[in-house]
Amino acid sequence: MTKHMATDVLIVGGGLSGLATAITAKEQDPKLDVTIVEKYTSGYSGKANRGAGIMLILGDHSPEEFAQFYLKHIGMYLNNQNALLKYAKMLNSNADAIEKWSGKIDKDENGRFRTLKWASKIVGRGEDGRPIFDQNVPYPWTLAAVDLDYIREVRKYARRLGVKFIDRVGVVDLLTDRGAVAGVVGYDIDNGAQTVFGAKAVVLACGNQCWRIMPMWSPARGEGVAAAFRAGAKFANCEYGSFYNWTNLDHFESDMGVEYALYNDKGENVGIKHIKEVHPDINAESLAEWYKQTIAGNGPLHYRQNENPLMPYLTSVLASQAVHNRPYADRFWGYLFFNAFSQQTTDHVVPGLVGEFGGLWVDENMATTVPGLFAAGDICVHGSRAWGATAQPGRHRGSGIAFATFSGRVAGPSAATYAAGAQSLALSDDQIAAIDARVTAPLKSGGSLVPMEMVAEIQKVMQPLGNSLYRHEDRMKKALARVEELKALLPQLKASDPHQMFGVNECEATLLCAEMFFKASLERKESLGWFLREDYPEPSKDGLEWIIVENKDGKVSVGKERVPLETYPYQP
Amino acid sequence: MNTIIVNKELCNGCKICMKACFIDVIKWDDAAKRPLIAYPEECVQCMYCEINCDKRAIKVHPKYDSYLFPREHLI
Ligand SMILES: Cc1cc2nc3c(=O)[nH]c(=O)nc-3n(C[C@H](O)[C@H](O)[C@H](O)COP(=O)(O)OP(=O)(O)OC[C@H]3O[C@@H](n4cnc5c(N)ncnc54)[C@H](O)[C@@H]3O)c2cc1C
Ligand code: SF4
Ligand code: SF4
Repeated sequence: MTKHMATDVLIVGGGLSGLATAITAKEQDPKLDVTIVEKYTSGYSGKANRGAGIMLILGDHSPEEFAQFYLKHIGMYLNNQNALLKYAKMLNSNADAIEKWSGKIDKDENGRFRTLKWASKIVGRGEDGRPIFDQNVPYPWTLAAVDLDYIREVRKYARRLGVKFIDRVGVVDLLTDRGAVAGVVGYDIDNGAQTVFGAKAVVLACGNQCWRIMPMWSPARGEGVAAAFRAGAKFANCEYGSFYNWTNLDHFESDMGVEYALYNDKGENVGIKHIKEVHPDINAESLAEWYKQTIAGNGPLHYRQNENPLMPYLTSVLASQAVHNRPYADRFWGYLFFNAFSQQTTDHVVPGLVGEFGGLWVDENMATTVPGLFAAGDICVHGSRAWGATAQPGRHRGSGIAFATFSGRVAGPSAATYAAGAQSLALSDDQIAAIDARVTAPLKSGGSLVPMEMVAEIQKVMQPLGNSLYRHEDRMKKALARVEELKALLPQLKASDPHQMFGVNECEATLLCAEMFFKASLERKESLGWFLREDYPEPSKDGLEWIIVENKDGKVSVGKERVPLETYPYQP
Repeated sequence: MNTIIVNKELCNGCKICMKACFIDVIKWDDAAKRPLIAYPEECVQCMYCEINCDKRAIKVHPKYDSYLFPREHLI
């Protein structure tokens, strides 16, 4: 039996960005009905409570200083500079907001946020044995730290404001009326019951696509991306959605700074040559070096941890009370490290595809191209173009929390303003029936494949570095052909319960994301920032362009847009 | 596959572990009022269910060998 519900602002996803959106929408206009629909349980779900909890803020640096550094060393001017500056200007107040909502940011004895700059070196020990750091690093930002049970507190804060929560309902599609968003359709993940929601404004805050490869990124399965595509939204920078991090196949925990201490099997350090004077974080070139060395027969590659200059920072911040007071995070990281290192048998290191494919195009108010549809958080990191030619986390760690908070604080008021001036639109029975037929088909299918078998096949196309990082036309065309073959197998997927029904929806979404990724990648015929091509090793001479993906009659269509550099404050 | 065990005596049926799981590995057994480890093969050893159980009634033992990762498809 279908349930019907109506709200003014509906937010899909109750992770950090969804909560930030809900709180700021409600704060701007308390009369509005604001509802979060979350597939699992908001407060526990999403990525923010399973990360390092380090949060980028500017500290004493200015937004302009940050933006100039960022454009030159990371974004390669492929940025929407208005969006970048807006982000930069809100970095410090993001931390104030999280502190107000959760009270969980670590503070010093004077009540100031305790910060430690990335890559700081230990230069001594205080009387209490705690390390003293030299924080003289060339990056115009610093990092605060939040304890990892903060999302539950943020949920409680939202609840006190009157935000409504519908947990354990996954949204599968948007409803539209003459091109504008009218609501969403969701299903209960336990009993499969359908709910149809009418809404004046919808905000997609349901995360990005991480290809279900690296363990902790598993919940990001691109269903929001696919729903937005089907509703006609535009995308940008999809080709940058392939972040890789160093990992060990014994346990899949991420390692940072490996490029400083990356050795081939002959004992040569092969990472260090890719580290420029200013090296804010892992770069694509050092990952490509792993590929080249392996192809040349110089593998496996080894990681000599004791040579990694980031270790003083990392070991002081994770599973340690050396700098921050974060009891919950310590426990969390203590468990992870114990499990991982008790089972590590080698120093072999490989790049694991994290992904972070979030190309939903948004303007500086977090509005998508579909009227009434907004976005926040990971889903639109690339599409906002604020970060330019880089993969998330954009070579500045601590930026996921920063972007989710920033974009939620922009999307909330934008969606509230829109909803206050909008009428409820008609919900189409035909659309609802078509969605139901699509989503529930695997429950009735006589197919033979289960979703996890399809996940394994998709992984094999996405993980190879030659396909997704160090790219070449021939390899990408093969990968795309395989994606098409897998798409043709979708009708053979079967589901025996709502969990698997969602599994099929996720596979369909992942294959669509893969198609967008490879088609956009083929269109960028150059190497720029994180985007590397073996067949086009240099930046293009045609100037800076964004690769745009759109839905033309249901098909993935790719185009280009010139970056309007002349309208921006900073020039290359 | 990871092993997730529930001590049904210690467990008080609070449902926190089910809520804590961010990918729906843990379902709820309404009749027994206890968690049901429905999809252990999908568990990504985040340990959140275990850390959040006040009763220490649930334990996750990761077996990374069987974690779904395309080990033969890195290049
Ligand atoms: C292991 C790890 C470590 C990290 N460390 C850091 C760090 O130290 N610092 C930092 O700044 N960033 C870090 N990040 C990144 C940061 O956590 C994310 O960028 C941020 O939390 C994204 O928030 P979000 O709300 O956009 O997305 P998510 O947290 O992914 O939330 C999306 C929500 O939508 C829900 N959802 C998904 N699909 C649907 C659907 N169909 N219907 C309804 N709901 C749905 C999900 O369950 C989830 O609750 C880390 C990430 C990971 C995974
Ligand atoms: S969290 Fe612990 S006590 Fe609560 S239901 Fe789960 S196992 Fe039982
Ligand atoms: S360890 Fe994490 S993924 Fe596995 S069951 Fe527990 S909460 Fe779910």
